[in-house]
Amino acid sequence: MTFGQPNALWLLFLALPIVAFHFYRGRIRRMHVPTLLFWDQIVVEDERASAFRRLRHYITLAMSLAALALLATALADPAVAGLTPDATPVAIVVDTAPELGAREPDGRTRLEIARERARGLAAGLGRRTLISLYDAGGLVEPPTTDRERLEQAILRLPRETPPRPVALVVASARASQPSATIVVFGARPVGAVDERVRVVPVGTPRPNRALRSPSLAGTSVVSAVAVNASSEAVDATLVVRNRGQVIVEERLKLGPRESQAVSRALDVKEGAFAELALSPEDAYPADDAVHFVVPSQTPPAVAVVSRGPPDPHLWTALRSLEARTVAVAPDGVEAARERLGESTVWVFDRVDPPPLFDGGFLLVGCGELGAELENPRVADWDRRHPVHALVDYADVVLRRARVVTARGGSPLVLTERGPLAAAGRSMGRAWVQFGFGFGVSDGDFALRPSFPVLLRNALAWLADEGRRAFPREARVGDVLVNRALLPDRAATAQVTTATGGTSRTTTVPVERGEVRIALSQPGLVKIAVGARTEWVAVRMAESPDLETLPKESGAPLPEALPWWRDVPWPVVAGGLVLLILVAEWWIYQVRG
Amino acid sequence: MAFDAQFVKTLESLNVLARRLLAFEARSDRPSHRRGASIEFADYRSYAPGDEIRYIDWNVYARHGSLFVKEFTAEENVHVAVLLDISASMTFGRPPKIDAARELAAALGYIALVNFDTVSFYTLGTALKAESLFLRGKGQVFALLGAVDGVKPGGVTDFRSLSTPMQRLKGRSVVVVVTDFYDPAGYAEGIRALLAQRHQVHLIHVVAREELEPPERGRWHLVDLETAREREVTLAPEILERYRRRLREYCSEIERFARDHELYYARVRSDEPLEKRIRDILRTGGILETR
Repeated sequence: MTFGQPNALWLLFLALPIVAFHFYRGRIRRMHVPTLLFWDQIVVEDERASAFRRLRHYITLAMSLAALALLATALADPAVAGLTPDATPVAIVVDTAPELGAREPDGRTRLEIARERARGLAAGLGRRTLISLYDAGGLVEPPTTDRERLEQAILRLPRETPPRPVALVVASARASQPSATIVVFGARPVGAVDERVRVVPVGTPRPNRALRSPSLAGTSVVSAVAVNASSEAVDATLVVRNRGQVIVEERLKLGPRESQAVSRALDVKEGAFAELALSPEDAYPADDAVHFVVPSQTPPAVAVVSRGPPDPHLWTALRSLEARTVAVAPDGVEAARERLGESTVWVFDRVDPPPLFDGGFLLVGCGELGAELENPRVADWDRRHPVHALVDYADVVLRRARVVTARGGSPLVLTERGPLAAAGRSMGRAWVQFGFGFGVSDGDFALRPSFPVLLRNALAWLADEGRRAFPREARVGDVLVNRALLPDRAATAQVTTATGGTSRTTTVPVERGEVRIALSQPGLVKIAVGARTEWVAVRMAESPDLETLPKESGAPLPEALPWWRDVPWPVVAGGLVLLILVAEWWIYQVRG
Repeated sequence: MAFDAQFVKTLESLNVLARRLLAFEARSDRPSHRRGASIEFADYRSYAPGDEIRYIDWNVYARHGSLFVKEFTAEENVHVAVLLDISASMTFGRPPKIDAARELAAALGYIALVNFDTVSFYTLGTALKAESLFLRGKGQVFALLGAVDGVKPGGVTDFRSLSTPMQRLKGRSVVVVVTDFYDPAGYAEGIRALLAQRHQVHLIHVVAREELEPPERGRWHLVDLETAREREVTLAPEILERYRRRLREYCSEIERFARDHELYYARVRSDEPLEKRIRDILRTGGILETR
């Protein structure tokens, strides 16, 4: 037996005054009476009880000492091997990775099953056992004996945190609690763990088919790969939707472990909000669909700001793109913005934009520029940038140019002496800057076939990226944060997630101009803030393997305690002390 | 205990009380069989055929139109013997019963003296002893008080010593026994002996509060004050209840004995004021009828 508070045992010394008091109280006192006549008669009648009365004194003394011993041990917090419940701490890991989202034949998801088993385990452990809770993202609840708090934490799972490998979570738990028993409820491989880790697989092997590797070919062809991740052939229907309307359905047959590419062309003149989905739902519907946000291919309105007439090559190239092109004087920019609207792309031809200009804009030979270069030679350019699709700078002759500072952006065109073009985002708005004009006096770029292609790419990129406060694509688990100021000082944002034919809308607060949207499921997400509306395609980071489950291994689960073994000793001791007091009262009051 | 001037004043007031109570009793409708020819007016009663006309009060008739005759107290020679129990058991209590008994003896003796009765004072212990005999008149008050004050309690009670004949005078003899009635051999034989001597016996039973309300529970060595015998007792609630019941039975037994023998009996508590004790005695002890 050990004691958590051995100092409490000093209370046992109170036995001395208790014994002294008992004997003092039990002492025989002397009293004169006028006559013993009556007492002789009474005592004769009660001869039988005298033995009990003599003994009673010692019985009550023993009871008082027993009560003292109970009180002292109750305060000393004893632990008796074999009786006191094991208080080894326990760390419960509930894997909240996507694999736990699979639905089992009984209709429950694996995560629901894991939560239920975790709650059952926690409820069966002794009340002194410290229990901590982890999920796939890490620590959820530090070691606690508060069962209510733990239960609530389990019920609140999953959190909006990206999942980590289970082995890392287990290692983290082991590092903070070296002596704890770790119990993992999950459906992912755990890896090599020590013998004090108990792995409890949740769920049954389930077939899964998914759509993976979404891509946009060109500007209007959406494609993906349909994968059958199970060992049996599956039949499915590919459903293609645009703006919520089904535009085509076709049957798919996938053999065991077979993949098949699927694609469809869409009408993207006004942009497309498309979904490729496999039907019917399987055990894990989250990876059965991929989503696309395709920007409109209609050329945007373009406002060209210049002192005097704009550069004719620029002007002609812009007009040839069938964009509605407007010339604006430098002092008319604000008025023109009001008139032309937010979707306009601005081209500043050798004129600096107004301060804090927050539109998508192309700077031609203006803006923050560095050293002037004579006859610079293009050394390289960023071929992967959307602005440079099908653009070639080889053999472009430039007579003069200035280095661009590319503050907040990335270089697009490089020379040996610095970048001559850059692109980036400023306060969330996209910009492209050239350190040279497009006039022939600056070079022959405007005469090259790449020039109109560059302009078209730049306009398309600026028209889409330039106006977006949120990225066009994101992944489940990401937290979307606006990268441009939100207008109208809106207080809330309406977030609608559409997948399949259904949608769900939530309201998210805007705090100090920033909105944070946790992405917990795939689909097309429409974000409406004030008068602005943007769409984001949210995709699964990966498609989980539902057929492979970890093996059950490790130390046996801590056994559930019967309720009576978990009653705190002070409660038991207190009850016994109460019984003793009642018994003492009965002995003296009732028995006399 | 010293009977001081204050105590004598108290006795005076008790005497007035006694006379007031006496007058009250005399005004009741109960016919007194102790009316005689004396100069002391006692009371009125309605005229009955055969009454002597000379005793009709014509002033009352003139006022009320009804005939009433006067009655006068009978003049008798009454010898009052006060017997005080001085056994050791009388020292029990706070205040001791002996003090209360002494006060009673002194008061009753005083009332008798100032009302021209002859008073003798005896002590009752292992034997009956005459302390003062045939005191008469108010001038003998201090002699009486001195005798009462001078007794020393101790020893056992032996009621059988009452069979010793007491000196008496001609006329009626009233014996007032002030005692706690604790005699292992019993009191009945002794009292009967007094009755056999043709005394009119009055019994005044003195009890202490501590006898009626025994001490707290616990273990006790009880010591008999008279015999010094000891007994170990554990006082528990039921034991105490039995004791109280036994005491009540004993008191009832004494009352029944008095009733059966047409004796006057009063029970007083030693811790009560003297006036209350006297009042209880005068009201219930029947001493009034001696007047």
